[in-house]
Amino acid sequence: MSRIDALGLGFILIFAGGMLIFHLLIRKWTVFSFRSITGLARLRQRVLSSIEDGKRVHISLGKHSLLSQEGAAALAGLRLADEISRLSALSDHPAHITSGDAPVSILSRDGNKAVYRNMDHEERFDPCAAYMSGVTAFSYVAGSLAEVVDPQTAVNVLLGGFGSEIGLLADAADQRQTLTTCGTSSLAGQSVLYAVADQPLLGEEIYAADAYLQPQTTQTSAALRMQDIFRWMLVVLILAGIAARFAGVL
Amino acid sequence: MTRWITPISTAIATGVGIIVLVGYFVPAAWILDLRALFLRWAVILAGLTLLVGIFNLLAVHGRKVYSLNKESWSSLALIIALVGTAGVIAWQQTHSAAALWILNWILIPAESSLMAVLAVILIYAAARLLYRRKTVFSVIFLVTVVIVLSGSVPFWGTFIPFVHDRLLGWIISVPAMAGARGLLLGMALGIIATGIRLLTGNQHPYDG
Amino acid sequence: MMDNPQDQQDDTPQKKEAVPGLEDVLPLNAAMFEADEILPVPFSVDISEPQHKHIGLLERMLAQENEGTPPPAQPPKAEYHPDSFQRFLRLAIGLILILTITANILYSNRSPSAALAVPSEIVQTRTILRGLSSESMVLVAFDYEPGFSAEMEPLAAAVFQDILTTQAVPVILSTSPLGTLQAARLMQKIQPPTARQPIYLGYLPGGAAGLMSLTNSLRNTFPLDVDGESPWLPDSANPKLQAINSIADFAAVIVLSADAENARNWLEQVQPALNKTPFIFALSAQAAPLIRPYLSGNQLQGMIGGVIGAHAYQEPKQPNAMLQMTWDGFAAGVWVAVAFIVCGSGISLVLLSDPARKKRRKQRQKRRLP
Repeated sequence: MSRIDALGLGFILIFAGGMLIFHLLIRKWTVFSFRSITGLARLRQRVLSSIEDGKRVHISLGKHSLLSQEGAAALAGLRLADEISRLSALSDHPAHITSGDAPVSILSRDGNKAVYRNMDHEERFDPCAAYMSGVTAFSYVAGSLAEVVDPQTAVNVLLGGFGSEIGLLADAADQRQTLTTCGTSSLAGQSVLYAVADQPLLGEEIYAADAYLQPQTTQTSAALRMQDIFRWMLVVLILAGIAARFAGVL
Repeated sequence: MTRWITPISTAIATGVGIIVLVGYFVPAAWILDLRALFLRWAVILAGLTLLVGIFNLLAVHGRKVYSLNKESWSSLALIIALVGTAGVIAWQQTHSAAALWILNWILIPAESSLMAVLAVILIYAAARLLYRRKTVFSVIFLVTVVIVLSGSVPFWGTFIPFVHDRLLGWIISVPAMAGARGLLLGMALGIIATGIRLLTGNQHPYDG
Repeated sequence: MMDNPQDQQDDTPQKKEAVPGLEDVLPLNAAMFEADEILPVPFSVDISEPQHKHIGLLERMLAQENEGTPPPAQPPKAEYHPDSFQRFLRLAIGLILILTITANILYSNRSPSAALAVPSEIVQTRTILRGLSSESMVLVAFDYEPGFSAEMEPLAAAVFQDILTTQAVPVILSTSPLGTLQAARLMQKIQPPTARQPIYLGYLPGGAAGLMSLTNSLRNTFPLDVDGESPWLPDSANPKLQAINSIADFAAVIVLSADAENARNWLEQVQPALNKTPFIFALSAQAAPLIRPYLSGNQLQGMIGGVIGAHAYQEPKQPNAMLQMTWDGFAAGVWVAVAFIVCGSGISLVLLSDPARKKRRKQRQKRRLP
């Protein structure tokens, strides 16, 4: 094993250990509060009020492959989709989930089914509520647009691996004046969202989304705490590297 | 409520994930062979899930056609196009003249039109950005957009001096790259956290 | 049909216990609660002056309700229509862009308008591609979708013209479902009759996992080509492929991608296995800046970014016809976009300084929040 490999493995093991420690700590003693992220602050309230109004929530999980790094963004979206599905499962209009990647669409359908099974209402599960709306980026967007502009849709959550095509969905949601929460793992997509959307999620904020919808989940809180610690460590390391470079050590 | 299959699925997912991860760091022959096998299965499964996804899409639109509402016609058009294209590809080759005809005259015009709409949306959104969000960051964003665009192409046959030669390259390679790397580092931590949650069975998106 | 047995048996535990499932709880006896008369309980309430007013208001409202006067008919709630002015603006931007670009394409003199400085990565790309021979096998990955064809095809054409001129054999794979078709379309456009036929390996699903599998075992990942035949057999259409056992055996690996994330997957999964094989990217304008740092890390040997990169790549003496046709239109379109953004931002600032508009805007934003 090379030095870089050992460093990588060590990094992952320390991260996992830290997550475990925080998971146990949070469960026993502490309740952490989250910093305010405008795009997520009212999400739960918005979802609940749309259910009360007899309207639907639409969740779109992007087109990036689950088997790539960007798959992590789709998994973050899936966590959020499961929670929204749980909240809206027994309403008149349960949440609809679209995606542009086949494995993601299968998982979203599976998660949706599990929500109904856990509620002992499997007969109410709609197999067509979660589907792959297109194979290529733009065909996926074209398929998802129908859900975004549906008069029954009151909240649009666009969270996952999108490219610049997310601009089309965010703009359509904005034109219909639905409440929209959007974020993507792609930098090109984020730059588009900055111009098109009101409160886009930038950077790692998308991985924190489910914690804001379900704050009592200790695993997510532990993961967020470790991310914060490692972020500060990286900042210190980068600054130390710059200082060392200026001092002529590196 | 946990089904009997869930712990088994979690154990399989965790085991496969750990073998693939360890294969990155420990170059033992048997781990590498096992990892290669799992990856080939992943590729085959990814191809198969594409078919499952397309059948699911067909089912969704089939139901919309059956429900006879205002969306039925567009759903019917989608089904006809899907079945027709599949028929053409099955009858002829993947890169046959008929398949190329579909690409040239239907797919590329349709998707390029959406790309063009996106360009209009972006110009409109950038022009309105200060109206939506009057912040210092919006001003920096717009100034950067204008410099990058105007430094990239000639104006009446001449590139704008300084902007094209120096400013454009500096913006792309210093502030833009620094910001991008900062975002990527933050996202990498999020990806690691998500990966660890999957590997430890904390998150299992395969309940059904 | 049998009746429910619980209905027939009165001595079930549920009937015996006061609270079902709980033992040692005294049974309820309805007679205990039978009262002969309800005793009046004396109490007094102090009502304040505002409470008196509220009671009076409530009584008046109830009285009005009982009078039976129907409430005035509410106009039906209007459905939301996007702001027509916004729609007009979008339409105007679209039309002006279309007209400008079309006019520039139609009336362009099709000669390079300005000499572009050729960056070192493009010079390197030229050197590598023009150094190929008729013995070379080049792996080319098509990783862009039909929506990006307008931008990516001139780039791909620039790269392929050099490959085909040297008589090297392109081995084409795709990480996008339509990539193989895109490659066939490009070949149809630019391939001279004398050029070597490319080998189409087909579509590689699975994102990064697929690329890792390709790195581990090229032949097992693509046992068959798109025609369903094994390209690795000695009697296949191109026996030279026999010498290729891994991706490091190709003379060069070229990735045509419109997506920075996919390009990064190639760099992370494939590049470490390439040894000394040159690795070249032809990227869209949105992906190129994000991949540029890998050039300085020597993980990439060449790169062309966007239409501008393709313009710099072409030789002034042998202009790329596909690129020449669109270059002037592209440049004009960019300047129209700049003009719209500058004017729009200026107008936004003026409008924002109007207090009445500011108030209306705030109210509109408030209405959007629940």
